[in-house]
Amino acid sequence: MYADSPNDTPTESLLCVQALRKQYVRGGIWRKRVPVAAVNGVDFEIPRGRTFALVGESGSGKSTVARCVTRLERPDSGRILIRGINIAQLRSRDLLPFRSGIQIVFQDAITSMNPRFSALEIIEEPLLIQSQRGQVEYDRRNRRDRVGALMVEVGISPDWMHRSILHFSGGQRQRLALARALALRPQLLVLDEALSGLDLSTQAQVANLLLDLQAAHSLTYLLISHDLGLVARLADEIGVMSGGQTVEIGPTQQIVTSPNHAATKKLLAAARTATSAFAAATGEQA
Amino acid sequence: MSYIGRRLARAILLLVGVSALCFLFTEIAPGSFFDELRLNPQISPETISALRSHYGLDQPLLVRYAHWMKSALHADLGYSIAYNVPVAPLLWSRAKNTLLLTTTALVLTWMISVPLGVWTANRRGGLLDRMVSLTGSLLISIPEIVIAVALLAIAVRWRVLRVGGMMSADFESFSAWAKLQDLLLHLALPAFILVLSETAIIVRHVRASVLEVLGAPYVQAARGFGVSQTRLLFRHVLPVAANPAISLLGFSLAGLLSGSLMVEVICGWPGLGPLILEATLSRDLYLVIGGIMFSALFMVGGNLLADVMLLALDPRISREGTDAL
Repeated sequence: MYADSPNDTPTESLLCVQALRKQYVRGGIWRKRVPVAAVNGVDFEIPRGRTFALVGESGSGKSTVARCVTRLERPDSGRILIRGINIAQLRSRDLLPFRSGIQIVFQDAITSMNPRFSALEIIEEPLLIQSQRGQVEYDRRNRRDRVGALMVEVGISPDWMHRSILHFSGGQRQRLALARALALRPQLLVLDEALSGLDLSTQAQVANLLLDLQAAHSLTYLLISHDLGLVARLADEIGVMSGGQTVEIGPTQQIVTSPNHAATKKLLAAARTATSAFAAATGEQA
Repeated sequence: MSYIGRRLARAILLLVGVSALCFLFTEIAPGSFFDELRLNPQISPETISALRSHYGLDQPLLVRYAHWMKSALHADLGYSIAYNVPVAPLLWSRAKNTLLLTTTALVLTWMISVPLGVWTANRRGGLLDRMVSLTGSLLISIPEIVIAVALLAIAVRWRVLRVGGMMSADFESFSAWAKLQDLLLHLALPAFILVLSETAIIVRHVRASVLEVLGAPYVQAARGFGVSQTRLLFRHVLPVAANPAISLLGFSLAGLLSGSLMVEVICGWPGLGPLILEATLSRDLYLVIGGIMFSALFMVGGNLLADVMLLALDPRISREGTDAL
């Protein structure tokens, strides 16, 4: 039984997060149990086909929001509306129809894939799960064809599908992670620091790939990052998080050029320092 | 050299090293089998000298070691001075009983530990997890000898199990079914003691391995596309969590053997334990060395078994040496 009717939210929003809260409890049998609020009142909305970036320093609660939106975690309170339906408190079984529509790509492509799997097994598994549930009819051959097509789409030769993922570079694995996420034809892709672990050249390539994929499939992105420079290139709108709350939300241009909140100013200053340090370093090398 | 070839070479080197250290330590250790004979005025020093010469104990250490090594290659581990029989058949007749005990304990331990470890990891923080954790802590903190003596006392008082030896006095007159029952009733107590003390440790290791994999991002990613809990456990978690558990299996075999020696002595199980204890007390040199070599063989065999299982179950290991990962 779904908690909300589809009429609760504007139709143009694919994702609407309202008053999201999540706390963890530290301690155990021998230590005092202390609640720690990871997310303490987060609100934002993403229209279909747009990119919304959540930025903030480490520990601000960005990844917890990502985990709640993908329902890897159950939020304590608040609403997560997907096409108007609140999935925040749905049970695992009721969540299944929504799983394929929301996919997540993690920061570390190495640890986000089963180290014993080949590229084929990695990308094929979501299709296999869908087939077993009877959501989509995929026989073995169809699955392989789809895996091949997805590999081509993310720029990896399908001839490599039988290779172990250990044989792929960091950038290639992130492309495989994107292919796996796209296998279920999601509408919302949550990119949890998905570009952070890559070198600058690979980061630029994957960023371009993300833009191409978005244009091709009308994907909606929730981009989690601490890198305002990168975010400014990809996002239509930015939400700044600090202490588990969204402290400032606005169009990218506005956030970058005229920030209001101290946390936003601090992030921008850090991004500028990093950029000038990089420029100085490359200048010296030249 | 192949993975198994390398492991086999290492195992052989280890056995050679253990045998060399055995000879060295028994040479350094004070006293010998003939010390008591020297106290007997009816036995002349010449007789003792002749006996020492007969067993080759008058020769330098290196010569004795070389002779022993040569005969050990032909499965001859020397001669027991106390029993006056060759060591290898004597050890083997007892090792069979030890193997029966340790194999039973090993199988039971892992049959209990793996599901319990996986279950408690999967229900982390739950009532069962807390109870298992608390019981495990208690069992680990109590010395095995105390557990053994306490259970022995309970078994004697309640008369639920057969205590002492491996079979009843009138065993030969039993039918085949009654013989099996009698053997199992004798086996139950020492096996239970071993299972109890080993399970506490292995459950913890299995739980920790499974917990580590359950928290891995790829498991989270699999959850994200709706993998069922059963598939998640059997396809993603257990194959990866099995690696440390399999490595532990090798050590567990060695641990069970060394633990069983003490349990055998306490429960009167006619295995290697009482034999090695008697041989050590009487300084029956070659029997002690043979007993230690048997133990080392168990440990090396257990580790080799674990290596072969890892090779079979983890494709990354078969690529080791051919790929630069």
